[in-house]
Amino acid sequence: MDEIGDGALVKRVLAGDVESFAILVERYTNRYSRFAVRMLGNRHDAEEALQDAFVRSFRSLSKCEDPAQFGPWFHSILVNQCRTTATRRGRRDNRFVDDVDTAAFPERDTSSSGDWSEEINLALRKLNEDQREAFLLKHVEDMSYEEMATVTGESISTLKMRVKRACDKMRQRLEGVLQ
Amino acid sequence: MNESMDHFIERIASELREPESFGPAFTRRVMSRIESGPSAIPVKRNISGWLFAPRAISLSPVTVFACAVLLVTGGYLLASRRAIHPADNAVAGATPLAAGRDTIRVVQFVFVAPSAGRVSLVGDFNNWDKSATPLRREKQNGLWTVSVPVSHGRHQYAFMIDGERWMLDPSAPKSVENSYGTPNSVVTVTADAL
Repeated sequence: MDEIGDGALVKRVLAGDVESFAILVERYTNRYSRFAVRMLGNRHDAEEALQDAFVRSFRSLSKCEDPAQFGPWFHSILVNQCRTTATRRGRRDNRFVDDVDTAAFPERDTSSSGDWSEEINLALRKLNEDQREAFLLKHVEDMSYEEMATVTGESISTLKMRVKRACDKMRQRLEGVLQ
Repeated sequence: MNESMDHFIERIASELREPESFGPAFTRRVMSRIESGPSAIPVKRNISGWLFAPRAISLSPVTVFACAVLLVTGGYLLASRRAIHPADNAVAGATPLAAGRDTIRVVQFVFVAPSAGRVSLVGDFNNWDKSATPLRREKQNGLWTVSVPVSHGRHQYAFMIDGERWMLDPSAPKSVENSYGTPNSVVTVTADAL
């Protein structure tokens, strides 16, 4: 059976078929859960952000100018929601992830890929939020700078600067670890 | 250097591309929140369709003037009530209040400074002019507030205390450092408020 397009699903929801929104949730959860987890550094906050983003997109669905482009439109809502969740978390425990003290983490044997993964995630969390967001969108989500500008509302030159700084910091922190 | 060709960064990115999943119950949790929410979209659309259907109306100049006075007074009273009773987690911060147009929102800035003589708002939306946007002191809690129309996008700002002390908003995210080596606070105004 042919898959129903995003545009048709959005129109169904707007016509009152709320259940059709579940198909959009199914379709985009796995695609964007990775970004939320990497951005926020833990699954609990990421799931909360993703749920909030879906609820918010449902309530704003009539503002989706191009229903066929629901995915990118939802992504921009999720990016904003991750920023909001990170800010809320900062208020809650007064500790942003970029304040994590590496000294609190014991020395690790980095000979296996599992440990590399841990080191990479730690280095990612040490980036500030703007740089982490830009790095993930560019290199993990494989977006063009034009797409990133649409999703984040930032200029392309700002995004390029953030990606470059993020890459420099990741390289600086990981070059000794990833042989 | 072309970053997309950087093998070191590619190796890092490939680790981070591992998929994440929240399990099959995730969709049910989202739909449960939606269905237990305030109202479904079709109802909203029907009401808004009725409300915003084009109609021909005629008003005398006196009626137009009276409506304008009512709108301004009502807006002022609403802003005052919100300032005295801020949201639970908005003791300090910038909170979008209402959409003026599609691309402009009225943002309420709140700062706690019981001992300050005056507080002003400086940001890229007022050319960092410390005399352009003074905050008003509320009667209690040492709160200072002001509501400002801000255009869509990400804006940097700070508070100026007694005309000389530059303070960041403790409840807002910080920007990257500016050319003076200090960060600013950031407020993001989106077309669709939460």
